[in-house]
Amino acid sequence: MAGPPRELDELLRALTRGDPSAISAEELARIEAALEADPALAAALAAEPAGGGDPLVAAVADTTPGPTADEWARVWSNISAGTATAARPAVGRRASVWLRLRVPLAAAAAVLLAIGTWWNWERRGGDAWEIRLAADVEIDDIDMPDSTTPVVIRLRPDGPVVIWALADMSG
Amino acid sequence: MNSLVRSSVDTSELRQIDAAARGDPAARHALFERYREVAYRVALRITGRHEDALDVVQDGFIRAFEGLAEFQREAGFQTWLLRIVSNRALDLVRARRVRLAVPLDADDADGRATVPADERVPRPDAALEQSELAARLRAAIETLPPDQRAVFALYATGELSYGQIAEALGIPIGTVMSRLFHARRRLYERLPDLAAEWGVQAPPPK
Repeated sequence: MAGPPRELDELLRALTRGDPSAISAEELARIEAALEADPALAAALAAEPAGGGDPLVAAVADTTPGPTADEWARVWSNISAGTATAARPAVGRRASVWLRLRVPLAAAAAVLLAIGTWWNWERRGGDAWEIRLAADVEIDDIDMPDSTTPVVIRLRPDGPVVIWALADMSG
Repeated sequence: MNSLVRSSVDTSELRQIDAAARGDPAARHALFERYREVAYRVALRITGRHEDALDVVQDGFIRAFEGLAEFQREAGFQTWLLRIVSNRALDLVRARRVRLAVPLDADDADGRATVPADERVPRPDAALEQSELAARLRAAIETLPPDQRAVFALYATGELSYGQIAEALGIPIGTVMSRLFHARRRLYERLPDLAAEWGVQAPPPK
């Protein structure tokens, strides 16, 4: 380490050597203050590898076996299952398929609903009615964004009214 | 402080990290295989329990992978991962609020650390002495306050610089040195025979 006064340099060496008896509490406080006040000193110390040559580190080096292969496999399996990011593309793909299909699916559901409503109406003995194309309906305004179903069903006392919005093909 | 030390990050690892951030399972698995052992050792030394350490590693990797978008590449994946693992392990220890394998009041009457009863695997004779020494040290480490234990756990990996330890724990380097000093002092208090053997003057027990 370059720069620090000789005495401070000695204190730092004693500290990094790992012998706590070589430094007093007052000297430790002095080192802390010096590291706080001198960024260059802190940077020099920060770059030093920690633990090398300390007998405590050598002694604590584990001789016990770590996790088994099965344990690691289980951990990895849980990590894979627990990280949502990996699954996001798949979720996105499903979403895009749903986006493409939802309008025709909604239309099909609306038709089934209309048929079901008609069938139920018949079963309950309601006035007979038939499915017919409305030729005399005038719609003042209908807001039909792209993302919504093109089918509107209104239930009225005289039977359901189904409005199926078609694209303007009149040119 | 955090800007003082930046690990050198090799480009192949950066590519792996980028791929992992995109959700590439192979890249994530490669990072897992590369850093799982050091993460486990740190977690084990902080939590003191094998199963807890595995849980911490698992949780740490999940959080790391999910947070890769915010990861500052120049900091080094290992330092960043160990920060997550250390914090998670410390949360666990603080939540327990009890001493782990060797409670203070379960030590020998003279305050010396003893071997935990739940050592996992019997060892060959040749390694027995080292194993017993490591076990006594682990027992002593578990008596350290959590903050000192975390610093010592990272220090004991022997793979980090003082700056990386500071960065991993989010504390100034002076605090790292102070906690390390007190941790070692306390360990030698509890292991006076080792201190004598290594020529370190053990502080008198408090």
